Amino acid sequence: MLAVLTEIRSVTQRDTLYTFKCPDIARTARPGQFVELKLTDGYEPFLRRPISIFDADGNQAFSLLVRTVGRGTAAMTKWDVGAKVDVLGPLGNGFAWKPEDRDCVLVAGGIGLAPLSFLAKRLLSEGKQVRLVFSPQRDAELLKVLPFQEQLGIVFSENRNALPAVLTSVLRHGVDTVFSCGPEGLLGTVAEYAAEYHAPCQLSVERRMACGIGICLGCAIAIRAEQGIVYKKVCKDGPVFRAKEVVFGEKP
Amino acid sequence: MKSLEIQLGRILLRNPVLGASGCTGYGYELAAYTDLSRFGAVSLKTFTTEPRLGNRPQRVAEVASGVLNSIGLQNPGKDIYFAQVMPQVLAALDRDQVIISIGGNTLDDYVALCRETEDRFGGQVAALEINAACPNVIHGAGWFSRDPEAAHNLVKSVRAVVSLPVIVKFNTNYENYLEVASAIEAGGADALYTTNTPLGMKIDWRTRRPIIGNERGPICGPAIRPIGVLRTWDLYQRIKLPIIASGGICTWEDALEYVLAGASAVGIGSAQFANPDAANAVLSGLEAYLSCHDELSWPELIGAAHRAE
Repeated sequence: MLAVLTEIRSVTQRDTLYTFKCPDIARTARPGQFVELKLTDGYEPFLRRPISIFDADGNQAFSLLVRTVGRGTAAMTKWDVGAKVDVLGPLGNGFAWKPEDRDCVLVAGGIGLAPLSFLAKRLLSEGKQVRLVFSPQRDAELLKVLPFQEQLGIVFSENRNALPAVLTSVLRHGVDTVFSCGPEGLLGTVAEYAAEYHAPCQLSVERRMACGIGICLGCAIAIRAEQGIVYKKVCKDGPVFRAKEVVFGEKP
Repeated sequence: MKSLEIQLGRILLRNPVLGASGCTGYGYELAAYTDLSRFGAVSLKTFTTEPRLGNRPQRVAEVASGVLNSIGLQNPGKDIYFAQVMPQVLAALDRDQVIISIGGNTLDDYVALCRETEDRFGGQVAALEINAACPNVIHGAGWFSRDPEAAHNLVKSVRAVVSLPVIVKFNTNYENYLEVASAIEAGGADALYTTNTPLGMKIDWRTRRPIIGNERGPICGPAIRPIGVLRTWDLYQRIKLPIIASGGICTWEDALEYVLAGASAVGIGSAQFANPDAANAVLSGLEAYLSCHDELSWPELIGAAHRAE
C-alpha cells in the first residue's frame, strides 16, 4: 500500500523522524511491529528496508525514527514531503504485556529507542509505571523526540560497560517486565540481568532482512526450543522474542 | 484475452509465470499480498526427509542489483511438511498450481521421497520438481548438477517409480552443464528448470569479515540476469525439453527476454522479496503485450531471438 510522507523532522544530525499518512497502518500497528519500505520505484536498491514503528496514532498517521547508517537510510533522506512510499505493514508480532504488569522497565540502546517509544506511550496510557534505561548517554540528544519524557523515569548508562551496574540498580528490587531493543551485545547483557533478577524479558532483535513476510527465510535467528536450537524468522516469528529463548553468540 | 496456457511435457499450466522455489515460501504466505490464482504454478520451498536447520546467520546481504541469499535448505522435514505444510498449500492453491520440490542427499533419498510424495499427494498436485541444484549444501544436491551420469540416473530412477510429471531443477554453474542438461533430457524429465545463481561474497569493511555466515552465497536478482539469459540461449540450442528459466526476472520485459532466448515459462524469485505481487505484475505485463500484438502467440515467442533477422 502507499503511504504519503507528511512530515520530515531532523532530530539529531543523523536521526530523522518521518511521519506518514496511512490509515491502514496507523489503525492496526502495535508497539514492536515494523514496516518494510520500498525506497524507489524500481529495483535499485534491490531490497526493502525494515524499520520499526516509532508511533501510530490509531487513526491516520504513523511515524518512523530512522538513523542514517547506510545506502537505504541515506536514500530516505532524499525524500520530500508529499512523496508516496510503497509500504508493507504492520509486520511482525510486537511486544506483549499483561494487564497486571505494573512496573515496566524499557532498555534502549541508541536508535533501539524507536519501538520502545511507541511501547512506552501505550504502557503509560494504561497507567503503568515506566522506567527507561538509555545507553549510551552520549546519544541522549535522541530523547528529545519523546513527547512524554517527563512521565518516564529515565536512567542513563554511560556506555555498554556501565550497563550491568545500571541494570542491577534498576532491577534488583524486582520489576514486572523488561523490554529491550538495541545492538545484540546490549540485548545479551539485558537478557543476562533480567534472568538474574527473575524479570520476564522481551527483546526486539534485528537481522538483515529481505522479504519481511516469511517467504525467504533470510532473517533467521537461533532460538532455544524443546527439540534443541532452531532457526526462527525475525520477520514473522519476531521481531520480539522472549529473552530466555534467544541464543547469543553461539554457533549451532 | 489470449490464452497463456502452456504445455510443458505432460504438465499443463494456466500461464507461464511461476513462483520460483526458495523465493516463494509455500505460496500461502503471499495470500495477503497478491492474487494466488494468478500464479501459473508455485514451486514450493524444497523439503527433505529429515529436518534441516539451514545455514547460520547472516543469511542475506544486499549487493548491487541483487542479494546474496544463503539459506541452506532450511525445512521441517517430510513428516511436518506432509502433516502441516501441505494442507495449507492445498487450501491456498489449485491442483494445477502446485509443484512439490524435493531435495535429497543420495539417489535413494530422492527416489523414496518422490514415491512417498506421490503416494500421499499424487492426485492433488501438478508435478514434482527434483532439486538437483541447491548450491549451498556441501554434500548431496550439487552433485547431481555436475555429473551427467548421476543426473541421468537420478531422473530415470525417479521416473521409474512415479507417474507425476517430473521437472528437474539444476545448476548451470558447472562447465559441463549442457552435457548434464542432455543427460536430464535423456533420463525422461518433462521440463528443465534453470537456476542461475552463481556464488558471490560480500565483505563488510567495518568488521573486515564476509557478511554471510556461510561466507559465500548464491547471488539472486537482476545482477545475474544476463548470465541467465545466456544459459537459457545455450540450453535452447542444446536440448528439446521445455525450459523454465529464472534469474533476476523483475518485470514482464525481463520475462520476455528469457522467452525470446528459449524459455517456455519463467520463474519469479527474489523480485518477490521487494514486491510480493511481482509474479502477478509480470503476468499482467505479458498479457497486455500479447493483446497489443494480435499476430503473436506465446509459442511463437519461445526462442524467437534465435530465428529473428
